[in-house]
Amino acid sequence: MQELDHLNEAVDSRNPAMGLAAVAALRGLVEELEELQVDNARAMGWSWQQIAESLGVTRQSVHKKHHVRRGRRRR
Amino acid sequence: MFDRCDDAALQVVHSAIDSARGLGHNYLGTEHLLFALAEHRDLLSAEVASMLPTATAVRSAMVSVVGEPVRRDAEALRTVGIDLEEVRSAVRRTFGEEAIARLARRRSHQAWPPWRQRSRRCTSLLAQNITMAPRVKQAFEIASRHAERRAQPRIDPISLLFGIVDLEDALANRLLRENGVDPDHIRTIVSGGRS
Repeated sequence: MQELDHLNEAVDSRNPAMGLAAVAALRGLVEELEELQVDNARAMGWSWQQIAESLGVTRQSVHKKHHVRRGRRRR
Repeated sequence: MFDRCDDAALQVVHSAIDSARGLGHNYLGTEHLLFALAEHRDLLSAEVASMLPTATAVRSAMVSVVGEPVRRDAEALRTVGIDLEEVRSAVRRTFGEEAIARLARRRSHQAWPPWRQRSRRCTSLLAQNITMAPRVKQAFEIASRHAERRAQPRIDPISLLFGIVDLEDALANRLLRENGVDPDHIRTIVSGGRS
């Protein structure tokens, strides 16, 4: 019975619909974690430059994505 | 907001929250209230109750529009070895409930309309507390005024229904229309205060 479950799982994970859904869900999760981490870093006084370096992206892209979001919230 | 509700309306609200949770939604929308009203139609007058689609019909319309995002995501993440529940508790330990609640609030307030169709962006995977959609707050304000006009001390289910059908672009009304029910028709009957 357990073997059958494993087999079912293997078939499931090869199903593109499930695989793509997993990718989309991961992307969503990454977005949420990024928001939380960036907010936390800013609260701890990190500069946009430092945050960008840790994320491995340019300062401009971090700034564009998060400064706007945070700014809009405050206004 | 809920302190303005009478017991029957509270029963509807609790049932709406349960249905949101059961579908893996972490916001309370007008669609959940509509579902709960359809489910508890005995709390409405017979005339109004007969106009509402069945709770099952509302639920399937809701699932086809909004889906069951979090449940589906949790299942998909499991196929790549990620336990969403574990991620949640790790995040909760690191940032606390408040930061997660803020994140969920921000998401549920994202651009309207029709924001819930892009449910992945609006439903937080991390948050588990239910936040109230802006339309629901508006519906309660309208319901409150409607109850006053009818000289009701508190919001009852009829006023709650009025609050929903009065909001033209609420998702609940789209679900009504998809079930062949004209929200304006309900609105006319209910606005007369005949209950």
